[in-house]
This record gives sequence, structure tokens and C-alpha cells, in this order.
Amino acid sequence: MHEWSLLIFTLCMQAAIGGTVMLLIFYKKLSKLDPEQQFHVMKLPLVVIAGLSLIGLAASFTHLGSPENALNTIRHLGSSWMSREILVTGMFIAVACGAAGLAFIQKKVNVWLLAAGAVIGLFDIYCMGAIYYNTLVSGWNSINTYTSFYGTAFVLGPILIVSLLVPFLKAKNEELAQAFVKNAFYIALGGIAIQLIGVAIFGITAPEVNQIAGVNVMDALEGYQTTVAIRWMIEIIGIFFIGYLSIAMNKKIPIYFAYGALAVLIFAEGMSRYVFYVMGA
Amino acid sequence: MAQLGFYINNDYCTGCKACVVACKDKNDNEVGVNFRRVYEHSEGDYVERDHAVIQNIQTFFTSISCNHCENPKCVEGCPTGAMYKREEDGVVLVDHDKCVGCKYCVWNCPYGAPQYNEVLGKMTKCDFCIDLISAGENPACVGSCPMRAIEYGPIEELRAKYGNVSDIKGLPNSSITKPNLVITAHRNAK
Amino acid sequence: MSNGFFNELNEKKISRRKFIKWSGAVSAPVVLGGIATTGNMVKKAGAELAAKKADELVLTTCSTVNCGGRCLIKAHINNGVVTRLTTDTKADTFELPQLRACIRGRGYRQFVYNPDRLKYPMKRVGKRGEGKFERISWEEAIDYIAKELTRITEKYGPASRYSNYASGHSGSIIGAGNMIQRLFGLTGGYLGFHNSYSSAQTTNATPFTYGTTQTGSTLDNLSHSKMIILWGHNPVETRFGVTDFYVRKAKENGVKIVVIDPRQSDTAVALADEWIPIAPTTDAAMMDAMTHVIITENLYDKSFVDQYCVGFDENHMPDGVPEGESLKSYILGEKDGVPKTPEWAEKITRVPASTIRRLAREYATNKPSALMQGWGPQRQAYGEQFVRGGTVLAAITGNVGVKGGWASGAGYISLVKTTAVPKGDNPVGLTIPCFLWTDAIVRGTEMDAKDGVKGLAEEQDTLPVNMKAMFNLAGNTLINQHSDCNKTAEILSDESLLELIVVSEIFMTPSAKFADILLPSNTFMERWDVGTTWAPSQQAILSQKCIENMYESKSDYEWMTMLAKKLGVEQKFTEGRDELAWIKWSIEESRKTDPNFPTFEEFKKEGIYQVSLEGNSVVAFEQQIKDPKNNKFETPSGKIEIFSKALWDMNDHEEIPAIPKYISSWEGPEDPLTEKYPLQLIGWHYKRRCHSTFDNNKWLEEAGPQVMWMNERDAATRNIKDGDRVKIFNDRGEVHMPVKMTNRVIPGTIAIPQGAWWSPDKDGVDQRGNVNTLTSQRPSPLAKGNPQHTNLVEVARV
Ligand code: SF4
Ligand code: SF4
Ligand code: SF4
Ligand code: SF4
Repeated sequence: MHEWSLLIFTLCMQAAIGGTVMLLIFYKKLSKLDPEQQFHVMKLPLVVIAGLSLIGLAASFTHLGSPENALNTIRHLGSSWMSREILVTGMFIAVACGAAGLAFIQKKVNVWLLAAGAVIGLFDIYCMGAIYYNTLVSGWNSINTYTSFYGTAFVLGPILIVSLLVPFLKAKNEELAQAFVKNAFYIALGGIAIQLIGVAIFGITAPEVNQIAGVNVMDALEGYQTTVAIRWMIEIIGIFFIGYLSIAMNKKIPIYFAYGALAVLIFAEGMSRYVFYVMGA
Repeated sequence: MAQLGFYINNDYCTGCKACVVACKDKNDNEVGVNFRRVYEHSEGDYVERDHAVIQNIQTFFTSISCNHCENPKCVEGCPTGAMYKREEDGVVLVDHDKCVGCKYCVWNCPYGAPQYNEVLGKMTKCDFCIDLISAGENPACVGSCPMRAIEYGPIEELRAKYGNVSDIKGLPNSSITKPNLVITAHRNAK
Repeated sequence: MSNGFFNELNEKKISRRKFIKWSGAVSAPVVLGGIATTGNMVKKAGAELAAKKADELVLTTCSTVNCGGRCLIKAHINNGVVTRLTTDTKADTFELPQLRACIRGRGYRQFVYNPDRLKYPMKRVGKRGEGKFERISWEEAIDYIAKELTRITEKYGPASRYSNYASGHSGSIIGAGNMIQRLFGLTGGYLGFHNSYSSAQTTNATPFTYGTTQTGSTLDNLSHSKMIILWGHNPVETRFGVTDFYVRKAKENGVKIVVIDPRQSDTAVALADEWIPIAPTTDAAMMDAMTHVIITENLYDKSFVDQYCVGFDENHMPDGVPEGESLKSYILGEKDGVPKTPEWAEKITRVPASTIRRLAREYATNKPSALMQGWGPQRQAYGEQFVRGGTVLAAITGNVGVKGGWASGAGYISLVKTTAVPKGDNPVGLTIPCFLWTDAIVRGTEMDAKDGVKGLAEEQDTLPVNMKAMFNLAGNTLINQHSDCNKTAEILSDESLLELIVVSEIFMTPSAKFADILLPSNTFMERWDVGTTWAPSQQAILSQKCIENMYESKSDYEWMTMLAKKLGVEQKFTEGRDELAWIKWSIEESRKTDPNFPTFEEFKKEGIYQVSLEGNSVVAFEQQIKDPKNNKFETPSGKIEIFSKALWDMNDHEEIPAIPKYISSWEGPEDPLTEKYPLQLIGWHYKRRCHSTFDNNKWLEEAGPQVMWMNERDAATRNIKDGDRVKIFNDRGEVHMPVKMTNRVIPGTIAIPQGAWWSPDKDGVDQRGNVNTLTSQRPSPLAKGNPQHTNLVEVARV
């Protein structure tokens, strides 16, 4: 397993996209604040989203053997999902950076850019999934690929945004902060639910054995059962953190709790992605 | 020229891998880069009766390179258009001026044909030894097989001579890419 | 500098850049990971790279390593660098097939351009075997050798000098081993050897049946057979000329092919209709049982046995032998009360009685049929019995001397004869079985005729002196390919025993590490030679000098010429000829007996002299069968000797019976030692190596990694999984290596491909997988041959 570049790329992009969607969802509630304050609260998430997408981009470059030819990659939109994904990812990055940049210039968040980012982003995740779904790697050509990718976005996105927003918001509007954490918690639960559905479907598909792939995917994954188990345990701990946070906000719980949850969940999703790439190795 | 293809007489393949190394020699390929590959497939068990053993072990070898498919998934998925199927004889090639080294073709080919070259940062694969063919020689692998188990030629001719089988035990379903490959299956591979 | 550099080399840490710098200094090619690049790799797809560059030179060469293939290799040379290899491209016919190179031949550039090659002469500085050396010049090396050789000869006499059995330069007319003996002969003589590590039992035993080892027929015969039994014969991996091609042709003709082997060999997979797994060392029991079926069911060829054979039954026995000693009596158990029935054999061999019965019937009734013996089963403790058993089966079924039949036994045949540079006389006139050289070091003065010493004069009971000076040239039998590496290492390390060890090598092999003086040899691509193959031999190939000597390497003949000069016999040694001149001489000599043998110029043009089987088909013993009056077998009786009076007179009827018998083997499946070591261990010739040559060829290691084969059942009871690193051990040593779990080997037996380079760690545990860490130095009774496939071991997870 040596697909570290792709692992970082997909995680960063999906977190950024999930974050964008969350910002859009929270935008309306945040519009209760005055635009100046709204910008103040949202600027960090916007920067982090743009930053994540740029890190993702950089990581994806390290995957390429001949990055100097990178521009060629959008020459085959007609049939290649990879071409499409690269184009759409490029658009998302442009919008994410644009949204952040513009916000700083105008001291105001442009909701249309945010909406465009969310839509493009969600389509981008579909493209990412399609890249793997359409390969002949046994285990990837399963609905699980899509659910896993969207799931990551909906787990990491909310937690990311909450951990970035709430520290600032708490001082200004405790109630809103609490509501956000709750929202984030539910959406993250939804993200996990999506992933579980994918896993269930994956489990019942009987992959074809062929001598070229060497081993069938179930055998390939056999050695990673512990990894998978630990991943779920960590994931549940992370979600528990957030859940706890969402009901116990008013008590004196350090906000670092949210950061802790974020770290734990990134780690869990990273492990999940690691196992995902084992199938292609 | 018509579409080229390979014929493999799987029944006589000894798994000797002369074809694999002949190809490496021709192409200066490092360890890990194999335009042609040979797979061993073995199944079955023994019945032990008192002291005697009765075997039911079924083994065969399959030599595969690139099948220069009719429906090349590698070409379809390639984002740069570097992977292409050339007009005149349907040989599937990589244009290194375009290739970005994304390795996506590796995941798209069911036969494991694209082989990434770390030093070049580019994809490489069986090019059907088109340089040798145009100089009137056999492709290196074809001329190397001690069992005379590999032939090449216009696929229609090969099919007329040897039939239509390109699905044997252990190979991916030929409907995926429509390989230009004809196989005489080993008795254990049917 | 040399020391540090060498250590680095030794640890294979030499960096690519350093190597390029090095090679640049001697104008060697630009290499990428050790391989001269052709520029092919960086070509753009579609670029019409002309396959044959305008100034490309194409020369034939021939790997004069000890390979049974000896295929045609054409080196494509650009600017003094071999950039590509091709093989035979002539029209491919049944009578004159292409000699297509196998995997090993295709990987030769990784051999010649391997960055690990020895680059200059070296002298040992550490303890012997430690592998510590310092660089010296050729002059210093030759000086040292000449001085030491003279001292030892003066002190111990010429019989203390020995050139070890070495096959890294063989099938050659100017091989290193022969040439050093020529030089020894000119300076007082030496202790010689007979036998080989390949075929000692069969070359000794076969003549007791037929009077000769030349029992092979041309391979076109196989297409006339009704059935072919390949008994322990694996021509696909071992490579015996183009036997695999002709077996394939026979199969195409509908001939049924049966392989008997503990392993489902690659031959069995691709060519056999039936594979019969058998427990190692028990082949003779199965042969006895087949004979039982053939006799009791009256399937033998009565008139053939009457007319051509001695010893079948009591009516055909030589004089002076008591009753009850004929084949029939033994098989029916008249004396020992044990009829050699298929049921009896089933318990020993693990082959079902019904299978033995069926095979015996098929073989005896489908005439003609060919029982071809491999050399593997004769490399056993009692391998002689397997050899003779096969010849007897062929004889009693009347399959000798007929087209489509096969006489079995050693199977030598040669349609092409070359003339080697003469070894000259050996004034000492003594030889030992090559397998017993370690004995000659520690107890030479006790070794007598019973140990197989030949050439002892009347008044001389034993060797006059222990071995003191050892020349191991182009060979790895100094340790790797000899039995019991640990014991051998102990003997070699004792500097009071051997006082001089000279090794010439291409790489730092396990043998090279034991050198006092280590000389860098060139490879076959850097020198002239003529190569011929093992049986059945249809060709001679001109091995041309394709490239200049790499680094400071020299051919053995080149440095021996220097040594001859120092010893004052240069003129006698060279007769004024360099290698090329000897080649031309040899060709002219061969032309004297075979007018079709090409002239040097013709040879250079074609590269090969291959005899077509058309009109040259040979059936062994055809004359003796067709016209027995005028053509006797070369045995004492003039007949096929099922019972050999000569063997009887040796008076060791238990171990050297006069008729072939199954002898329950030490470290066989019936040995009580199985309590402690329950698994049998065999080796085999791995397709990716020629004995131990090419073990360090990375292309070939990729194609065929060093793994031990183990049956799923045996693995399961030991909780071993595919790919695990396991330890294999017995009282002689321990090996650690990865396991390949496969049912292609019979339960109860494991197999380690022979030839891996012995790599002991500090505790003496081999980390590479050399089977000889576990094999025994106990010789077979008659031939004094090596018992390599006779071992009991146990396996466990590391
Ligand atoms: S075998 Fe694979 S690489 Fe070759 S054309 Fe077909 S899909 Fe492409
Ligand atoms: S590695 Fe090259 S040939 Fe393969 S898909 Fe990527 S760009 Fe195309
Ligand atoms: S045709 Fe040439 S490149 Fe393709 S597998 Fe054969 S030898 Fe290799
Ligand atoms: S060279 Fe021929 S026999 Fe050997 S592995 Fe290749 S296809 Fe099979």
C-alpha cells in the first residue's frame, strides 16, 4: 500500500467539500449576525477549506509520475472519469479559493459562491467515486465506493466546521453554537449511516476470483480486519465526543473537545481510506 | 493492416517464463516491470487411503501480455489521451509526450498489462514489438517460447485457425474489453 | 581503498552511481541497474525505432555454464555493448528444430553486466571463509600461486594437488577444470577425479546392464512410442537439449505421457496425461512391483528375455551363482518370502497398488513404449537400483533396440563430437570419486579402492597423501553444491588441512569466500569457445568473443598461461596457441572425424553446427537386437545383464545386489529417524538457475523466487501459511526461507530448489535456502555418488 498521495488527496477534498456544504447550511442561521460578525466567524472555516483543497491538490501532484504534463489530464473528458474529476476538482478549488479570497476583500461572505462550491463539490465527490467505481479493481466497483466517499464528507465536514466555528461563536451566541453542534452531530451520524449501508452492500457482493488480480478482495482484506475494527471503534469514540458536546455545551466543557473529536475522526477516516486503497494494491 | 492479436496455446505452456524475460531483455525492463506475465493456477487435493495417496491436483499456466483490446478500458479511462489504439493495426500504445503518470490505466485493465516505470515516471506496456515486426522479425516473446505456444498475427486469421476462445478459468470475462486474444485452453483451464 | 570497497560490494551495497563511475573508467557500457540500456525503454510509442541498427553486430554465443540446454544465443552488439539477445530464428522443423533459449538464456545480460562482478584479483586477509580480501595485481596473484604450489609440491608431492569438480565452465573445449589439469600434468601430476555430481549413480550402474552409458536414442523416436514414462525426468525445467520440444511433438501425435515424480513438475503440468506422485527414494520398490505384475501376468517378452538377457529366471543365470538369485526369484519372494506385489509397494511408495498394476500393464502391452529416466532419482542413497530397475523393465518388455522404445539408463547419445584441448597425461595416475574430495582432505591416506579410488598400483593400498592444494575454478562445489555445507565449511576453515585454495569466479559466491587467492574470471561472452550440450546432443555452437574482458577479469586460460610461464612450461602448455587458435585447432581436429563439421569460417557465419535427425535417427542397441550374432552388448556376457556377475563378485549383496532391488534407504520413509524428522526433503533443478549459476540474477529471481514447496496438509499441521518464513532443520543444519504452500508436492515431502547461495548468519543458519545445508556426505554404495535427495527434516515456523 503506497497510495498516500491519493489518500491525502481524497480526504482533504472530501473534508473541504463537506465543510463547504455545512457552511452553506449554517449560512442562513449565521445571517442572524451582522455581516461583519458573520464574516468574522466564517473566515477561518473558509480559509481552512481553501487550504485543505490546496493541500489536496499538492498531494495529488505527488501521485503523478510526470506532473509537468498535468494540463493534459483534462483532454479526455469524453470518456475518462478521471479527466472529468480533475476538471471538476479544479473548479471546486477555484471556487473555494475564490470564496475565501472574495470574503477577505469584501469582508462579507458570498453565499452564491458558497452554494456553487457546494454543488460543484458534491458532484466532484460523485466523480471521484466514479473514478474508482469504473475501474476493474475488485471491491472498488461497488456502491460502497460512493457511500464511503460521501460518508467521509458528511462526517468530516460538519465536525470540521463545528470545531472551527464554535470557539468563536460560543462567546457571541451560545445558543446558536449549541444548535450547530447538534446539527453537526446528526449530519455526521447520517454520514456514518451512509457508510454502513455501503459496507453492507459490499459484504454481500461475491467478488470474482481471477488469477491476474492474484487474490480475491476478501482475502486481500483479511489481514486488515483488525484495522477495520479499530477504525470503527475510533469513529464511534469521535462521534460520541461530538454527541456529548452537543448535549453538554452549557457545562464547562473545554472546546478542545471538538478538536479532539476532529482529530480522532480524521484518523478513523484515514484508516478507512487506507483499507480502501489496499484493495487496489 | 488488420487488427493484430496473440494466440496462446495454454495447453503446452510450461510456465517457463522465457517469454517474460525475453520481453524484459528487449525492453530493458527493471524488476517489477513485466510487459508479459505468466500466472500459475493450481487447485485440487489428495485422497489418502491407508498409506496410498491419490492426487487430483489441477495446475496450468497462463501467459498474458496486452491483448490490444477491441474495447480497451485503459484507453477509455486515460485522462490525457496518452493511451491510444492506433488505427492501422489496433495496437494499443502509450504516448509518453502526453502521459502524466497517473497510473489510472493500471486499474482499468483487467489483464494487468500497463506497467508503470518509476524511472521514467510514465506508463509503459507491451507495444507488440512493432519495431521488430516492421523490421520483419517476430515479437520477442513469440520467438522465444520453447514450446512454440505463442503466435501472433491478424486476429481474424488466428480465429479462423484456432477458434474463438478467450475465456478460460482464471481470466477476467472477455466481454469487459473484448481482447484480441485466442487461447487453446489447458485441460485444467476449461 | 580496496578493502572498504570490497566490503561494500560484498554487502551488495554498491551504488549505481559508483558502478557507473567504475565502469566508465574501463569504458564499460552505461548501465541502468546493471543492464546495458538499448534506449528501447525510453522510446516513445509509435516511434519507428529500427530494430536492427545499421552498425549492429550480431554474434552467436553459447553459455558454457553447466546447462543441459546449450541453446543458440545471438548477441546484438552496439558500440561494444550487448544491447539485446535473440535466439534461433531458422526454419523450425521436426528434424531440425530451432534451439530456442530458455529463461536463463534470455537473462544473460544481467549476468554479464551484473554490477556485482568480481573486478580484480584478491588475496584473503581475514580468516578463511570469512570473506575478507584485499586487492592485489595479477602479477602478485600469479607469483603467490606459483610459490605456494611449488612449496606444497616439494613438501607433499604432486598427488596433494587437486582441481575440484566444477561445472561453471563446461560443455566447453577449453574448460577451466581441464586446463588446470593440463598444467598440473606438465608439472608433475595431480590427484584426479572421476564421476560427476549429476549422474554418478547412472554412469556407474547403467554399464552393468548394457556395457555402456550410451543408451539414448534420438528424440524423434518418441513420436513412434505408444506411451512415454518420464520417471523423475523433468526436461522442461532442467533442460536436456530440446527434449521438451520432442515430448510435446509426441504428445501431439497422441502418445500418452506419464510423469512419476514427488512433485507435479512443470513437465507434468504441461506435458503429462497423468502424474503419479511417489515418495522419494522408493522408486525401485515401484519398479519391483511393476516387474511383479509383468511376470505374474505373463506380460513380459519371453523370446526377448530368452534371447538377449542374462538373469531373468533361474534358467538364464551365469555360472557360479547359487540358486534363487535370479530376478524372478527375487520378485516372487522365493528366497526372502516377500513377493514384491503392488500392495507391498503401495505401503512404501504411497502409489496405490491399482495404479502400479495399471501402469505395468499399459507399459508392457503398449509396445513400443519409452521409459525415460531422469537423473534426479539416481541422486539418492541407493540410486543405482533405480537406474538398473529401469533398464530391466525396458529389457523384459522388449523395449530395447526398437524404434519408439527406449533402453532407459543413463541415456547418453551424441550426434556431434567436438575435440577438447587435451588434458595430457597425469603422472600421478590416481582418481577419486569427485564426491569424496572432502574425505581426501581429512583422511586421504586412509582412502582405498573401497572408497572408489582408482589407479592404485599393486603395492599401493591408499592415496599417498592428503589433499593440500585446491584449485576451484568456475565452480561452486567447494561448498554450495557439495553436501553438508556446515561440515564442509569446517573442513575448509581449518588452514592446517588445505594449505592453498585458489578460486576463479565471476561473483562472490559461497565458494569464492573460501579462497586464499580469488581471481576474477570473464564470462562466456568475453572469450572464444565451442559449446556442446548434455544428452541428447545434436549441436555444437561457436561461442564467440562478443565483448572485451570487463574490468580486470581474464579467462582461466589467460591467467593459466601466465602461471605456466612462471612455472617454466608455457610453451608446452600453450603450444603457442591462444584460445582462438585452440578453437581453430579443435575445429580442424573435429573435421578429421566428421567431414560435415564446418570450417572456422563457416562456423563463424552460421554460429552453429546442428545435425538434422533426418537420416540420422539413432535407436540405441538396434544392431544388437537386429543382428545379435554380429553385434554383442559390451557386457562380459555379451548380453543384457539383468543379473550382473561382476556386481555379484563384489560380494556386498545387501548394498550392491547383482539384480536391481529396492533397498530401504537410510533417511527414507521407513527409517526410524522419521520419528524425529518426519518429512522427506528433495531438491530440484529450478528453471531460473543453472545449478547455482544465476542465483544473483535479479530478473530470474523475480521470475522464480527461492521458496520451499510444502503440501497444504503438512503446512496445516504445523500452522504454517503460504509465504511464511520457516525453519527447516535436521542434525546437519538449519535453513530459513519462505514457504510456498502448494499441493504440487506429495504430502510428507518438501522440496527446495537446489543451487541457492549458502548464506549462513552468525549462528550458521542459512538464510537463503540452500538445500545442501541439510544433505548428507554419505556416498552411494557402488558409484560413491552424492545422495542429494535422501534427507529427513522437520519444518517449523521461525
Ligand atoms: S489488455 Fe489492458 S492495457 Fe491492453 S488494451 Fe486491453 S485493457 Fe488496454
Ligand atoms: S498513466 Fe499515462 S497512460 Fe496511464 S492513464 Fe495515466 S496518463 Fe494515461
Ligand atoms: S510483443 Fe514485445 S512487448 Fe509485447 S509482450 Fe511480446 S515481447 Fe513484450
Ligand atoms: S515461453 Fe511459452 S511455455 Fe514458457 S511461459 Fe511463456 S508461453 Fe509458456
